[in-house]
Amino acid sequence: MLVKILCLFILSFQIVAQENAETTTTPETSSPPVQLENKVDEGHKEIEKEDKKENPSKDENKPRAIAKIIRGDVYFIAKAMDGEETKEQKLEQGSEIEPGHTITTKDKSFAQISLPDETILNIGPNSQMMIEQLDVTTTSRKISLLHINGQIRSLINRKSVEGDSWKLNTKAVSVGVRGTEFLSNAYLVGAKDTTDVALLKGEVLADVSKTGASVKDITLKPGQFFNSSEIASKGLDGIKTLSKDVLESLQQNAEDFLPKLQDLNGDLIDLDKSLRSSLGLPPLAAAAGLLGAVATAPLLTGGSDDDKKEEEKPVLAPVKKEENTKSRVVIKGGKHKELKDQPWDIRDAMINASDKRVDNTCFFWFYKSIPGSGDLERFRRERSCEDYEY
Amino acid sequence: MKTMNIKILISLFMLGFLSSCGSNEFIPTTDICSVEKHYRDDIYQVKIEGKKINNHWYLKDDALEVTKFLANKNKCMH
Repeated sequence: MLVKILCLFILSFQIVAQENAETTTTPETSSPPVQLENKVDEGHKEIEKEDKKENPSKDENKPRAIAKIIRGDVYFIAKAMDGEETKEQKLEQGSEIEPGHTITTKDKSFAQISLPDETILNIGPNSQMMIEQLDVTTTSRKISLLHINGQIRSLINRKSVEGDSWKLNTKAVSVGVRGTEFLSNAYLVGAKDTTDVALLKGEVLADVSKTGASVKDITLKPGQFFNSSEIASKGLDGIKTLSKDVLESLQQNAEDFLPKLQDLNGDLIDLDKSLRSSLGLPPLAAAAGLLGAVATAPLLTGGSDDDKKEEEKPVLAPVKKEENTKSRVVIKGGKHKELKDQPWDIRDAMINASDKRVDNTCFFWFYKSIPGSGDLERFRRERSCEDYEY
Repeated sequence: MKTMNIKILISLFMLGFLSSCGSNEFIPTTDICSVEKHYRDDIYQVKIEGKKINNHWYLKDDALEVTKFLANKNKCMH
């Protein structure tokens, strides 16, 4: 059938082409534009040659970073040869970024930068980063980045060899990388520079000497994280560990960033608990205690090294799994609260669901952490009943 | 003459398109949709083969309705 359609298509094109040939002939006006273009091209070539003579140091083969994805408002400030900074310019997708450029993301914005050594940097909202050094060849690399503030997720695909240097510096910490993926967050608590680092894959060596800690550097393993202020006060005891399912969840979603471990008052949040809530994972052990689990679960607190030794899954009350007899959708849920015990936004949606549906109004919820607090808030939004993000 | 040819073209295309619709083989998916309750709140997230489709949560009936939309688009089994 497809072959028949193709034949019909070709035949019809031939008919139309024949008709066009019979009707008019194009006038010969092609030569002047060609000549003009050639002249202009020659002019351009001359200008380029002059440019090269004036700036012999301009190396076209110099490795550059590229802005792969830009969402929202992302800007860059370039450093000129004389050290002066240019004005803030909008960074476009596909633009090249050179050493000395500072990239800034505004509120609700995101940038993904690709480095010549196949490293991917995801820069979260309200963040700033500068590329200090970018010397990459097929056999060696020397990369240095300055994480000024905000959230960055770094995925270093190329494993390090002897002589390689890959560093992410913040005002408090310098992270040396050895083929890995990690999250970092740089911010101020009071007037103090603070850095949080969480390792997802591979290995990092962090130089924490600037924090005034008793240890000079620390090696992180996957799942481990630290806050620079805690390292300064507790040394190696300040290193904590995420639980296995939280780590796996973070590894899967490439656009997850590290929330601030310290709030404005300087209090530390329970990162594992906070991430569990945002990722929709059940809490460790706490649920087992509340819901009356049958098996005993170890009392795990997010961030203890004991997590590694005991890999038992947290046991909750048996999750009700039902399969609709008519459809094959699996429903995993527990017992619902009474209507009067529901939070107001969910209760309101439940009570008015049928009325709202007549107007084609439905709801969805999402969880988001409020800046300054470690807790996750639930937000409700209206949507059209046929709408859903996929 | 020109407009006549265009009309012939369009009608041939429509004929070919309509007749070709039946010739494609439809392969239904075997992926399973699931709706999972939030550990604390009575709202549900929609997943296909254990992977969430988005970061949104819905009332139970709404979540089941989303699975129907997905099944209609052959993203999971009915």
